[in-house]
Amino acid sequence: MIPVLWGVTLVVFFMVRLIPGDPASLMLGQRGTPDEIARLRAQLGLEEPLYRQYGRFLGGLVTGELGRSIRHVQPVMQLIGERLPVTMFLLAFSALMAVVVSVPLAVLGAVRPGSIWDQVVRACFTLSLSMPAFWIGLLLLLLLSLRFGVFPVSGAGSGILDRAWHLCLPALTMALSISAILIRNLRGSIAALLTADYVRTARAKGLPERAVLAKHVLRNVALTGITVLGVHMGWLVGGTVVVEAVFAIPGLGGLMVSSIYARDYPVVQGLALAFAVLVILINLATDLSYRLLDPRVQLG
Amino acid sequence: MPTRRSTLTWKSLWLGALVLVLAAIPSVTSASGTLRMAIVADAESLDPILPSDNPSIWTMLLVFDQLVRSGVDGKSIEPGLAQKWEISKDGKTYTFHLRKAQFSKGDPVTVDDVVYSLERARGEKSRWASFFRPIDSVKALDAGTVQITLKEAFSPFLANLALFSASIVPKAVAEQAGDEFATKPVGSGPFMLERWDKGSRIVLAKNPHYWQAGKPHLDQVEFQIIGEDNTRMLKVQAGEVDVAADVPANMLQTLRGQKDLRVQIVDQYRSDFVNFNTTKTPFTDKKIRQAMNLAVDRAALIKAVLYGSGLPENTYLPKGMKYWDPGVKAYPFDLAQAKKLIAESSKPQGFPAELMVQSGDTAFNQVAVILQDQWKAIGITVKITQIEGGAHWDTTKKMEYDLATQYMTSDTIDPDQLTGFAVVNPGRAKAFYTGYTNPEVNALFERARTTPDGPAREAIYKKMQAIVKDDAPFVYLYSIPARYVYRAPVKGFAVLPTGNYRLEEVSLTK
Repeated sequence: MIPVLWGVTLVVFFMVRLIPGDPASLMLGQRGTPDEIARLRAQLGLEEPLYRQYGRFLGGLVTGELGRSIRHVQPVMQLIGERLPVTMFLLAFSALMAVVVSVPLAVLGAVRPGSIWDQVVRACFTLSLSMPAFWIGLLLLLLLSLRFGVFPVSGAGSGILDRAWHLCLPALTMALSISAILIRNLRGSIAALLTADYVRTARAKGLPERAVLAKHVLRNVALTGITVLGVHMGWLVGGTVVVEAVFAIPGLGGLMVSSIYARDYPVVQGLALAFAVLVILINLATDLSYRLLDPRVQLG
Repeated sequence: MPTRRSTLTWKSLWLGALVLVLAAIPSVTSASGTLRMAIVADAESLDPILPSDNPSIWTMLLVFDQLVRSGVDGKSIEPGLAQKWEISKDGKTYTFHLRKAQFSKGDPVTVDDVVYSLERARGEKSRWASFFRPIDSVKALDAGTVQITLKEAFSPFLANLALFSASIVPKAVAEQAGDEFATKPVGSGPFMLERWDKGSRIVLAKNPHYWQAGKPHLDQVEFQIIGEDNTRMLKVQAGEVDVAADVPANMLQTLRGQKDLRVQIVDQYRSDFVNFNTTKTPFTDKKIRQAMNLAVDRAALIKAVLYGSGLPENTYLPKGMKYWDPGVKAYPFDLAQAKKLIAESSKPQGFPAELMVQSGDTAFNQVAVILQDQWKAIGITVKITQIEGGAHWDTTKKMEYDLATQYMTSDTIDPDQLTGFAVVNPGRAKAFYTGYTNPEVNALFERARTTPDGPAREAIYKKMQAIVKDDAPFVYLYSIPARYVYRAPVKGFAVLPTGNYRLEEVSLTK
């Protein structure tokens, strides 16, 4: 994990500085004269040689210091801390919704392959796969927020229930974008398992179909399902950028975008690390859940 | 086989959960007296001497007062914390008589606060110090009078004092707060900062000690930060906000169609151009620059890009600004004359050129495509390069471009700032990084700075505008008005040409 994180810091540090554009110049805007910009750059420590800036950054990391935002003059850690809960809630809620949407539909498709429902579901979700998240989000807003007034247009709300209500549409948007793949995957696995020997045995023993599905098939399918979900959750972390913009959610994704535009290097570096850590943790959780689901799996 | 009882249990559980959720849904209607406004971006700092972004500026103008402020017409100067003032004959001494006012915590605005604020505005830490460089000294004459002496006469000075960066802050609070003042500002303006959820919303509460009796009418203002255009418009359509800023031109029709919404379109101090890099051939040739201006059908541009909401630009100054000359005719759409000029120019066969556009800007992207098409008619093949905003600005400053879409806005109501920025070279910005330089314009600019306001100064500006129009260091595009939409119960909402809004005048009817 450490080498990965170190690699991330290296790549992000130098990559973001390669982009033309200078934070001081962007902060001062059109009225900044060359001397004012130079003065601000010196003030912000941007005039130091790159290796020394990088050294300072790494040194700070060791002590848990991510530096101060150039724009907001707030510690980066504080900025991230303020927004992390919202993004985590969104990610968790999206994953939950993805499962809630995908599993029943996958089961339906596997149990009645070729039926009208199966075809409709497959068509709809192939469509959702090809629609950008941005577009899906806006459509949901138009329909469910404007037309029917069921959900709020934007924001993250406060308090668990209010937040869930606010994040319903954003979570649904994210869930829809990965559901197609989840459904297809699950459906295939379930269909394959339904013809397995132990399933036939269970049926022969007189177990009702519902129990066969719940106790045997789904448990075994869960492994591949979790893998696919885990991979896609990593993808979802990046997807928060678009969804947070559309729904005006004050989370990490929105902060990342605005910080890149403003060339707020410390924040971009800090966020890249935060995202990397998140993805690593998700992968870790995925690995751990294998162990829980299948005691035969050896970890490490 | 599920039993009927288990089905009922499931159903009632779901119903119960739904009821719980619905009960927890808070109402989206506002408390009476709270104006909810959707704005495009968050403020960066509320310390008057630091930020340059509009959200910061427009919020600070609600929290702070200045000695003077610009009138609602955007041209005149009216009293602020100074009830009246005198200017000496030589234009070097300004004497201001302060009115009785209090900061939001109740402490009175004293002459020491004024002196402190102005010294701070021209001090080391201020990013706006250059606007106050003409000041020689700031003195308190007595408890209610402050005198500012300039090094030499400087006509734009009063307008600079109306800038948000010359806001009057409480000395004791600012000194104690230090850097924290940017997030915990205290002023004497109509509102005070109640809450700031970075990236999400800014909540202002009424200043109970505000010096204008009976104002503000509102108890609270809540700015919700919604960067995405469509989402912002949806908020006002759905009634979740009362006002939404920056209406995309293509939504005007839809919004006008909704009975409970009103659209407000006002002039703003903004000029849009396509800048020529006049140091690069063939843009060194004036005939080519003029031809490219003549080959542009501005009416078509306005129709296609602004949906009819705009006017052709005639000079480099924004429409309606003090000394803007409506007498200068905009370049007409004259293809014949354009072709004639190209034939006489250094490149009669035409030439290729690269037009740099900010990738995130929809309007400019549309303009680029239209211009590319229009310039084909005079033999110029344009390649459009999209580049991210920050990188676009960087490339412009390095002057590594052929053509670039650009716009500028004014912080003051005096044309001095835009002139110094856009057409003077050597100067602050190499004439908006076009490299254009005309010694006559430079000389006129210096003279206008020391000529007091009046017909003489106006004549100088008229001359400058005429010369710059003829020299054509840019392609003049159009004047874009500011577009806002608000719900019918909102009364008194008006956007000034400087872009800010006097929310102390606003009230919410039922």
